[in-house]
Amino acid sequence: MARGTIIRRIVLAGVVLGLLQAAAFVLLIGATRSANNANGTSKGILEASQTIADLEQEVIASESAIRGFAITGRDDFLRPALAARARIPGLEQLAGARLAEPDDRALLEPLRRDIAAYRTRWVDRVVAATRRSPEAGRALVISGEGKRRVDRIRAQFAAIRNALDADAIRSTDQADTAVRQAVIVSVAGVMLTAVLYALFAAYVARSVVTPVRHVAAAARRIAAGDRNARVDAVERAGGELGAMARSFNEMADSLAETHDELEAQQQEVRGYSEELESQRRQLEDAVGALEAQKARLERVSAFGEAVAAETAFAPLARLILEGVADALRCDVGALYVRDAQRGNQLALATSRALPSEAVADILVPGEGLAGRAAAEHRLVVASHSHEALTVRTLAGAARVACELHVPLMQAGEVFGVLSLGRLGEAPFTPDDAQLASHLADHSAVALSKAVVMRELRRRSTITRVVLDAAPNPIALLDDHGHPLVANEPMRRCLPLLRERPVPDVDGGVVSDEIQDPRSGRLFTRYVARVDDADVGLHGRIVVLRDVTTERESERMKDEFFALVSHELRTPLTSIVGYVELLRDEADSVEGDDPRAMRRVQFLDVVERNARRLLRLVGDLLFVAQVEAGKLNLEAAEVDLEAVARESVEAGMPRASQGGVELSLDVRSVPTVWGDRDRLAQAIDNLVSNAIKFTPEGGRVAVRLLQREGRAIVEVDDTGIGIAQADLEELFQRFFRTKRATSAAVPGVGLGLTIAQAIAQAHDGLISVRSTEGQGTTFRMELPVHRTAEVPA
Amino acid sequence: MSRPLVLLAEDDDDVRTLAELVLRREGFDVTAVSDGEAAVAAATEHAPAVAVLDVSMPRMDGLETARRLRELEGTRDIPIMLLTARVTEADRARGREAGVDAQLDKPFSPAVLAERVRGLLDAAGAL
Repeated sequence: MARGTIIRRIVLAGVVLGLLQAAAFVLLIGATRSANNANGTSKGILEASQTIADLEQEVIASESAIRGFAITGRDDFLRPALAARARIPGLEQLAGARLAEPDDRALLEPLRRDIAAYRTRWVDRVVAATRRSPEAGRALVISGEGKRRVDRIRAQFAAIRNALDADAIRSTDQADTAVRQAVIVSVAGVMLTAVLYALFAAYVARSVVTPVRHVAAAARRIAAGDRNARVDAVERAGGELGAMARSFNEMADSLAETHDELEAQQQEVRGYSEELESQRRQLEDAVGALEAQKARLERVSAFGEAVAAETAFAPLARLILEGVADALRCDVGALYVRDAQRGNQLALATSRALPSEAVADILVPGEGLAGRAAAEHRLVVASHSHEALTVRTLAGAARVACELHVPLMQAGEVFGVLSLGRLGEAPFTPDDAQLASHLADHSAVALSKAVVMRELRRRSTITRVVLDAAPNPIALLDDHGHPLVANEPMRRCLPLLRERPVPDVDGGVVSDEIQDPRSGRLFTRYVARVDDADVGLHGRIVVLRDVTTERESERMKDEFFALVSHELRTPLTSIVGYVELLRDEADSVEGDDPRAMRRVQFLDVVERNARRLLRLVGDLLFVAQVEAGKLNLEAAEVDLEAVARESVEAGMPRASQGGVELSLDVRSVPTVWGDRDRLAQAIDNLVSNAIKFTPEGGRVAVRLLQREGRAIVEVDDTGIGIAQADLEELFQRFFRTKRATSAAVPGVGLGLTIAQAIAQAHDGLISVRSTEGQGTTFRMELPVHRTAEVPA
Repeated sequence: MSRPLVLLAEDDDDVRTLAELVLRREGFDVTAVSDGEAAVAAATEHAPAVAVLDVSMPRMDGLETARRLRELEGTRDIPIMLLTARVTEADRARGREAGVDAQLDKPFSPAVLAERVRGLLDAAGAL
């Protein structure tokens, strides 16, 4: 059959069914309408009946009313009749409208005539009669005419009623018939439809469902694995189902093909996967090896990091030995490192698990296995079968069976050796050796740095300790005035340094005095520049010296000297002064009064001694000042010739008194820079000494000359001379030679001390040559002042 | 011409007496006091021609007295001689800074004292 047949058939069946349905429907509608009509008719009849009944009721009411009126003669009995009379026409009209059957309407006419007649011939008559006289009315009523009329009317009513009833029955019957017809038709129709529907369903079942089921079953079979399941039978069928079956078969065919192909491919794939499996196993092995290497590298790098992070020498040495020993699974070991403090030899830095007597303190290159490693700059490995170093363990004495020594190199030089040993019989493999080398390389760099750091720190500590031990505050400031180094005493004075900014210095040492306002202490501050371009150091070095006590004691000495001087000189002033007054008085006395002359003599003695005492006081104070370093000299140009001449002149009296010749020989006139009075004092001392120690008839010569930039004053005598042994002590204070004391030469032994002090204060000196019994030459040398010198 | 007035300040009794004696003998009138404060008071009151001050006196020494005299209006121009016990150049310098016109070391001979005072007066009178 052609495609789409099934649909067409379905459509056709539908149309047929539809038509049947429509027919049944139409019939049903017809029946319904009939029923409706009948219903309507019944309703009309009912209404008509009602109206007729009402009409009858009015007539009856009217009659009752009339009777009542007639009997009683009261008007109020009449009212209903009047009311009825009013209503009756309306009702009649209504009844006429409602009566549908012509037959019925025909009955109505005579009724109307009768009712009208009743009204006119009876009711009115009665009313009139009653009005005339109650008895007349009553008599009429009693006659029973009314009743007869009413009965006749009522009989007509009954007839109409009957007719109406008959109508009603007829109409009801009609309705029933119609309904019965409708029911029959409906039932028949429904049953027919049902039958047709069943037939149709059967058809569909046969021509659609079964093939579909076949196809589904075939599909299930294919799904279950039966590749050959087909729907051949259905294929033969026509229309869409046939097409579907054909498609299904084609699909099944193609599925089967595909399945075959897939199986072939699967075979191939299985072959590949076997190959892959074997490769995977190879890779796993390789990965395993790499991981082992990675672990090793990580250990090495962790070791490297730990080593790089440690800068202190001792912990680093420990870290290196422990790290390498652990990495190589070694039980014992030792690390030797060059030590600058031990003559730069390889000294033991740290050891592991070795008794101290078994490990040498110094490693000598070339001696032993470790020494070989050091000397040959390479790794040395050895295993021992019998004689070996033993180490104490829990199990007793264990042999160090295998050992490894690796040198630590830096810039081609050996600066350390790492020695490791294993107790068990596990020789070192090439891998072990390689690892040892790597670790040694890492260690070498860090260790050499640590060694340098240690040395630097040692020196820095030494410097610091020494600096801190110094009593003076010392600081090194940079060019901004910040302290780079400050020793401990300076750190205590740092606020002082900040408050008193250090002056800029060009070269040389600048010194000034500063005072700490807090403590009141005085300091002499010395500042010098420090410039070292190589290390980028530019600044100033500051050293303080606490001079508070010095100044204090100086001040006290000053006060002391001032006091002593004043206290000694004041009484002398009185003595000398009053003596002079007395002498003047004595002089003024005229004549040669021996008593007056004696008085003068005595006063001279007193004055002389007072002056002597004064001189002594002066000398003592002078010496004391020299000792105390408080000698202050004037500074001016001094003409030595004039000074020498004065000294000689002053000495003349004593010289002539002692019978000694005194002369002055000026060869040149040097000018010196100094204190005239003091220089005069020095020359006076020399001259007076010369005169004192030269016996009568001798000679004292004073010479003034210049040589090699030095001014020279020579005092040469032919006196008793000085013993060689005494020459050394000559200038000591209070020193007097035996001859001087034994010869009772006056003097207290300060003259030469003072003269020398004066000469030295002028940057000069006094020297002496003497021969006992022959004479002495004292020589004072002074630097010449650089002005024009006038030769003699 | 009336005798010129010399103000003498010296704490040692003997020396003061000596100096007073000598100065009177040389033709001066003398007002003698024994400490610096009295000296200032006397100088203000009597307007001496010359002041001779000992360097060391109780309460106010010679240097301080000299400074004070130099400060005060009425005594500013009085020539001052300082009697010193010579110790150091620094002392001399201090004397000069205090504003003294002459310094004489102890012990001095009375003649020298008189001479120097006269010299001061002449110098002042010549101005």
